[in-house]
Amino acid sequence: MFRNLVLFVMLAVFFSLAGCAVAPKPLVGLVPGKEAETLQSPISISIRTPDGSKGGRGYLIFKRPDRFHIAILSPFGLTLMEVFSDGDRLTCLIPSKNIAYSGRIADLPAREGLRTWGLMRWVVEKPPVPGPALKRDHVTADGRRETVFYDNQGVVLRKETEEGDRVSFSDYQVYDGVAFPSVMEISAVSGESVRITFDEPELNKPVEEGALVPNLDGVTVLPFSAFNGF
Amino acid sequence: MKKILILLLITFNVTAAPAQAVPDRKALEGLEVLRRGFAELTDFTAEITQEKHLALMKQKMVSRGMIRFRKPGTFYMELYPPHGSRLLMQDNVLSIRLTDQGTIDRMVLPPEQSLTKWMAFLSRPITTLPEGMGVKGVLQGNSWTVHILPAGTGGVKELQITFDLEGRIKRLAIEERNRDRTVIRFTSMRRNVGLKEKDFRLN
Repeated sequence: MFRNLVLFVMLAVFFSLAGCAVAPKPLVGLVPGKEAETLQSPISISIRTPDGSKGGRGYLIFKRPDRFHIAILSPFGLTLMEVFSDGDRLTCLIPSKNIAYSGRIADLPAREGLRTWGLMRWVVEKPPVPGPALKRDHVTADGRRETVFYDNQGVVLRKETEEGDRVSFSDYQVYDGVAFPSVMEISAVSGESVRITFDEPELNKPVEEGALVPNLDGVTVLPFSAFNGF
Repeated sequence: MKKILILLLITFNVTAAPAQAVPDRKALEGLEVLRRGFAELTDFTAEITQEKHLALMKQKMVSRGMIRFRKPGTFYMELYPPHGSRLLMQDNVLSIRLTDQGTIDRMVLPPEQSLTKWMAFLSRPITTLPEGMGVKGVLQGNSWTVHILPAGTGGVKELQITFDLEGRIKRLAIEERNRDRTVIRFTSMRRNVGLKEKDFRLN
């Protein structure tokens, strides 16, 4: 009898823990139809490539439809790299070298994780409205086929293109009526990946135009073809 | 990253660089106070607050953490969560661990940039200023501020280091050419506390 009771308690504990692990936390305070139009957040970022990994703290500013500015800092606080995206163009500024690489996203070289930045436009693209199904096939703005996976609250868990690029979103929190993930992991089919974690993001607060435009005064601007590593 | 570290090392020990033609007396005096402060210690620990002002933004990022140093050549810096990181420099091997990402970067600096090598210079009094950078010293009350302005077009425009009459660092400000600015404030600095190997662990 005692053994059965112990077994029952252990099973109960096990299943309750397992339940905790898989059941998504209910998102309270969501405002139907409200979406993230702007985002400003301290971040932590790690970039993994077949050659190794790099990372740091930083800051991300985003404005729909597809403009963003990411600053990556060294442990001493100095700015190691800034990435700006506007439409199909991307600029990667390295302040310590007074050099910026700029060009079309399609021309990004497949090294040091640069190509994953090109996926950001796809990552932030508005997904189709969730339906009763938890998985939907969709065609992206640039004509690629993707599959979007939702949870039962309608938030996007991950997106995958038929080429094999993938982004997953986890640990959603509600900010000002909008569900936003605390962690975003982008994996390019090339084997490179970027993981971004957000800390207390500010959603839908005004973003100044100047915050999205690189300051290239006195900076040598080169095409991506001249990039030979950081 | 390497260049930044080297510049910071230069900040703590300008004697390693070639001499400036016309030395600024106050700069020499201030740097000698700082040098003596370092020469007289075997280790130190301090709490830090790092404020990063990005020129393109109104907000500033504030991180808190701590640093530890032990002679001859071990330096450790931890920034607390969120987005914590741990940096460990053992002589000329630099390792950085991002605690919430689980990644570790390692780089090996050339031997001439090793901490042991830099610290060896501390035994010599400063009689000349380094070449290739402007150095200015200002004494106000019980506080020295040494301004270091590297020549050239690198990312750092100016370093300001503020310390007391015993060479205890209170504040380090780094101004970048892109108008970004970082201020690190040092508090609760304790010297010669007997730090052990276990105080310098990445994991």
